[in-house]
Amino acid sequence: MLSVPEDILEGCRRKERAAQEQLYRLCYEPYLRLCLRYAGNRSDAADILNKAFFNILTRIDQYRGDGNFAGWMKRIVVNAAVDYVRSNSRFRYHEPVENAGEVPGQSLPDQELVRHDLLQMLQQLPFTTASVFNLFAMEGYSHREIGEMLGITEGNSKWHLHYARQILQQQLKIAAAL
Amino acid sequence: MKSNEQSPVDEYFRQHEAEIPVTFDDRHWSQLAAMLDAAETPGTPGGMVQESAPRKTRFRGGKGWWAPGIWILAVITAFWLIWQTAGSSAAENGGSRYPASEAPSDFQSVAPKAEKELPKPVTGKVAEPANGLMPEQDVALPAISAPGAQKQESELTGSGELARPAVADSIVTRNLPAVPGDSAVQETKPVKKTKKHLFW
Repeated sequence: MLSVPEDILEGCRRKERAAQEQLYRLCYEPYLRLCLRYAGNRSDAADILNKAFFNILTRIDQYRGDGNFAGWMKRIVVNAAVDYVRSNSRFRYHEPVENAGEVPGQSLPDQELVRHDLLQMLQQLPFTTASVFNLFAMEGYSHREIGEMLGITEGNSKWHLHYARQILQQQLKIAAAL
Repeated sequence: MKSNEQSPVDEYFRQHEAEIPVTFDDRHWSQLAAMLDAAETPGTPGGMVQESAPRKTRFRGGKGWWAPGIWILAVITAFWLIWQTAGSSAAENGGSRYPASEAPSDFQSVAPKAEKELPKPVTGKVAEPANGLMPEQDVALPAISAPGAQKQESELTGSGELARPAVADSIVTRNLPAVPGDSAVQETKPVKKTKKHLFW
């Protein structure tokens, strides 16, 4: 988990540009990686990150210190990513599959994949499907929360997760066979 | 927050997500710094986030009501003018509710108003035209004519037509031909009615 030094946090509260830059540099890699999973390209990911950091730095007074500061920042970054998804989503109607089961017979490749391929696999998923997978598997939101965030039903969210797992497993098998 | 549903695919991506290569780009920080500068400088449009954009269609105090007020006044004035015009045209038609072009046809039963002057019965002489202009004029006969009136009428008109019998409890209108010797009636021409416009 990311930890922010207290002096940087205090400097950001005083609107010091140097402290703000330090915080930005510290958080850049993990949060840009998060944004890359939602955005289709690097430019959009940087836009999401900057919007999120604009909100963080201008509303840093709203952080009362009662929780983890990195967690507070991550929530704002995820919200910015969800805003991006909602404004760019091309939601298509899918028949919701109730009680979408787990993908059976999972044997993941042991060999090292090129990490860049992981990102490509995620970005090749349908837009909403990738967003649901990111929110559920990577960020840990429930289907109900995902449905409220993306404006879809809970069953639809389950269907997207099931579909994402199917596609990703097939791609991992193909990558392992190469 | 976290559901019990877990999958090795999820776990695999969680473990290896941190290895996705990312390098710092100074341009991104420059963009953010510019956004922050714009937001902190008073008088400039500011950053990308606006707390609450003002509504453009909001009525501002009492100034915003002048346009609907003018429309309401215009509608009221138009109704008043129509009402006035209808009243004046009714007065021109002699109080009749029918315009000249829609006058009741012959033998149409018309219920006269109580305050309206009843036509004079034809007793020994053709009644003068009401306006002295029309060569053919509807003359309303009284509900019950005096005995012998039909004969006198046929003699005076010279047309040999017999007046139709009066119908009790009704008024029958009919055309009476003009008297041949009555030059005042022959020389008159029907007056053209000019159409009156609403607004000018």
